[in-house]
Amino acid sequence: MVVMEDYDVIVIGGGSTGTSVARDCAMRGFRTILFERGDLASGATGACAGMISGGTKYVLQEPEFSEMCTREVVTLSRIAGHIVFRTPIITAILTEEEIKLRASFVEKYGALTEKRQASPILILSPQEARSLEPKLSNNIILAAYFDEMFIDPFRLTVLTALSAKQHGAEIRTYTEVVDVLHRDGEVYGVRVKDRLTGRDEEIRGRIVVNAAGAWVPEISRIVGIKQTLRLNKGAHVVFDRRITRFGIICRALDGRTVYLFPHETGSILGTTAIDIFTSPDEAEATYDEIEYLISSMEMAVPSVRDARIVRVMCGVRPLIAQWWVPEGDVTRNFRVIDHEERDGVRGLVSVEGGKLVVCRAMAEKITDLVCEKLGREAECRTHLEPLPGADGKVNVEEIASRYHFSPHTAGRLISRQGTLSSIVLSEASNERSLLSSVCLCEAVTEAELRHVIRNEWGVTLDALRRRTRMGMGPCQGFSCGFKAMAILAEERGMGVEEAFRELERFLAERWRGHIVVLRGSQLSEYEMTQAAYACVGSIDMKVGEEE
Amino acid sequence: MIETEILVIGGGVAGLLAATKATDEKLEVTVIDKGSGASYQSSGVIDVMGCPLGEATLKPIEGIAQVIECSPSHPYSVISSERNVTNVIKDAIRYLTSMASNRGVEFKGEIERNVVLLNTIGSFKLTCFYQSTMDRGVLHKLEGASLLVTGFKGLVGFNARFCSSSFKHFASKFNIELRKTSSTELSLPSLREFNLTIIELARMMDEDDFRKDLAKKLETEIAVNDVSHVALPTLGLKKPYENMRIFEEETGTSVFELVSPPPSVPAQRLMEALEEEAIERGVRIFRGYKAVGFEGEGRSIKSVTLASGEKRFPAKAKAYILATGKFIGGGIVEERDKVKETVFNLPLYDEKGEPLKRQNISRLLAKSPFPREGHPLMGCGVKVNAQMKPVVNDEVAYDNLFAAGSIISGYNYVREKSGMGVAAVTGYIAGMNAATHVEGG
Repeated sequence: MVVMEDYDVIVIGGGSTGTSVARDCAMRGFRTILFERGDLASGATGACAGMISGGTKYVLQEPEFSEMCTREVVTLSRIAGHIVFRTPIITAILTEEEIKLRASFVEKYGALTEKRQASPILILSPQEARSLEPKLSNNIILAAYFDEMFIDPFRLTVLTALSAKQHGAEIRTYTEVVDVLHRDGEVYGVRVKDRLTGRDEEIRGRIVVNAAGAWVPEISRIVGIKQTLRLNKGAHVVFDRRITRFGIICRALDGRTVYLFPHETGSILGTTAIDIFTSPDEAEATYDEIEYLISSMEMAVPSVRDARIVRVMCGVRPLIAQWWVPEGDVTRNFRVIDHEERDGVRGLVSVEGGKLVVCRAMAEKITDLVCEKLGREAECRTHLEPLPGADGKVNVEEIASRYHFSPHTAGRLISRQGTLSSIVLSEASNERSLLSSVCLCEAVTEAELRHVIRNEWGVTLDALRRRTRMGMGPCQGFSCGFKAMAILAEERGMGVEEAFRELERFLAERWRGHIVVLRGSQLSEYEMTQAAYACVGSIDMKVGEEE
Repeated sequence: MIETEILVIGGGVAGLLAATKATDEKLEVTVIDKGSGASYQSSGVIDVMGCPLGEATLKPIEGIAQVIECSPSHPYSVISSERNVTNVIKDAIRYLTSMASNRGVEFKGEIERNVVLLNTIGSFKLTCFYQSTMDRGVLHKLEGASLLVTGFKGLVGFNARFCSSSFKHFASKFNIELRKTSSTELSLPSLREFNLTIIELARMMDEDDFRKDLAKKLETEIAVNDVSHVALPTLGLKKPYENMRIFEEETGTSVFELVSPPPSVPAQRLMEALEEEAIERGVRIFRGYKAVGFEGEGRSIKSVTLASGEKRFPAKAKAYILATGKFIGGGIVEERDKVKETVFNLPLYDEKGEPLKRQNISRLLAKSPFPREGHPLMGCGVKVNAQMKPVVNDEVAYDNLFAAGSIISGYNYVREKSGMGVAAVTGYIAGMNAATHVEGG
């Protein structure tokens, strides 16, 4: 057992909230360390659609929170410009009663468009809507046009962590907090286990911030605190291509709202909301959830039924524990909890609720409390300083012609790395083979993979996927998995068996998101993957006993 | 409108073999093919039986015997009720390899044993018959070898450095000691600097200037290394043996080609050879047509409906051979929880020979992606009798319909490593029996 030096702040959880807390604390001069038991953004952050809205759903119920969301949309667009994109959206109205329902929304949300730096809301006739978006059904009776900003949640989290690191924070991924050290009503550190090496360590800190999302109660339980969240599972179906040009929102079969958003190279259909009462580790999307989403959306976009599904992703929302109301009516606001005040346990702070768009604001509130507790006065600057790569504009054509490679590949790189793109490509001037696309679906070059392995905690294939989108496209790792494995093994000095185990883990993770939705034309991709990895690669065969 | 004596639906290994075999009987045979199917996505070697019941074996005949004992629905078992299955597999593979050989693609191997080959992923593959470009690299022949794994700068999907260490590792797992493994990455000015594909590289190797340059490069590499064997990701598409000879003469080493996942040059080489040979022997091949339905009368198929774009027209024959494959080939599709055979709407059966119920497809999948016991889904298909006639409730569905290849149920080629062996033998028998049916009818 190694006992590590002291820190001011220990952050538990490497989602959008945890990394934002680490960044804010580090920027305010605290010695900060963050522990994430899996990869960055491997929980709810990585399973969301990336919409950073002014709170479409909450504008009527929680106007103040909606104002905060609106402010944060603008802030994120400023500090993370290269990973933020605008998506035009059409709300398709299918029934008379919906018109009334949507009217007050249009009014209230419309009032915020300027503040969000968005286009005004327009009411469209069915003909107008269909001429803009021919995939819309003939059954729509009215439509509304507006737009929303989206962010790449994986990049947001990684860039936030990178910024935290630049300000002196330590970020430890694949390191699980297995114990919270406490005595006499005071938390003084954590015991962690490195999940890749199995090594145990004790780390002391003055404040522990529990930002573990759906796992917040499990951490609190260790120090004897009972903390209840309303854990709510949401699933998204991911399609191979942009089915529609516009994002489409419509009413679901049960009266909720579902959406189909063009996202990166594909489309995302979401989402469900099911309260869960077992461990969030167990949460998986079910066949019925997927059918619910497709059956709902096909009322507005009939072709969604036959579109090619590549996978399903599932996350657990750590909602504030409000009961006796439907999920949609539960506040999306967050609550920072000082456990000294609430439970008489000093040195522990946690956060409940919240959503992606307010991750920075949540961190600001938490860090304000940390400042108060540790007796330091320091101004929050997280809204002023751009995240790595967001400190300027990059010209796609210029990068493409400087390195003589395709503008498409250059564009995809810039959408992830921004102004850091030329650093990613720096070795490619001399070593041109680094410009090869390892992942063809998402145009990920070898140079980018090597860069994220070296600089962005890219220690597993899964981590490479989150940082580059490698393996997220239609082939789901069939053509890039083994290529990336060799690169990762080389960069990290992995042995052959370890490398193949890593490949198996990666393909198994892809499979978990595949198995419930495997259908239609995706089955031929499935057969290809089976044939390549099992028939040629013999990944299913164990050797050593044969001879 | 197509009129022919035998209509083969599907131009993969099973379909081409069936068609050519039927042509031997001087019948008019037409193959329709919607595009290049699953055989193009194979590795271009012939697996017969690598993993019966999930356990690897180096003895395919024993493996086949095990399968016949334990899996009565397996095509090998079904065939064994009427024939000596080992002999007919041998005949079918001899037929297949002689077709290939007539077009310059040579095979080696014997049904008595499986061999281990190395692949471009960095692992190994168990197979029975392999192209002779791979011969020097058969693992048991590499004992004591000093192997140079040769990559190319800019080539995607082949990492020579990684393979050099992984080959040593996997060889030792099979108790073969490679004395030394090393790697190099050649850079040739005529090659694309990045995003070079293996197919492009293979085409380049067919060019005289390029292979001369390459031979020189190799010689320089070998001069500084103590090398007995050279592994290359490909030896070229059309002239692999010439290349092998040139490289061997130039370097004084043994040179071989690695197996690769799709896109596989050996697979393309084999498929082009089979197509050319089939056409040479009189088979007509129509590309770009898809069979979408049929007209039947009682127990007889009257015609098959072909589609090309929006056009629909019938194809009439005396006998029909269904060789449409599984999902890649398009023989089976899934729609709304139902897996369907796409041309004759034949009912599907599972690996054990039980009718497949309408169900959520995930119930036919294992929890892990590559389980040793395989996914039940891959064992589904149409059920056939020993003549390769599809049966429904143990009754022959149509007197003039035969099936071949992976559209047939009862085996799981992914788990067993038996894909091309079953395709060959079922194609061979279907071709013979379809011919007999036409001649007798």
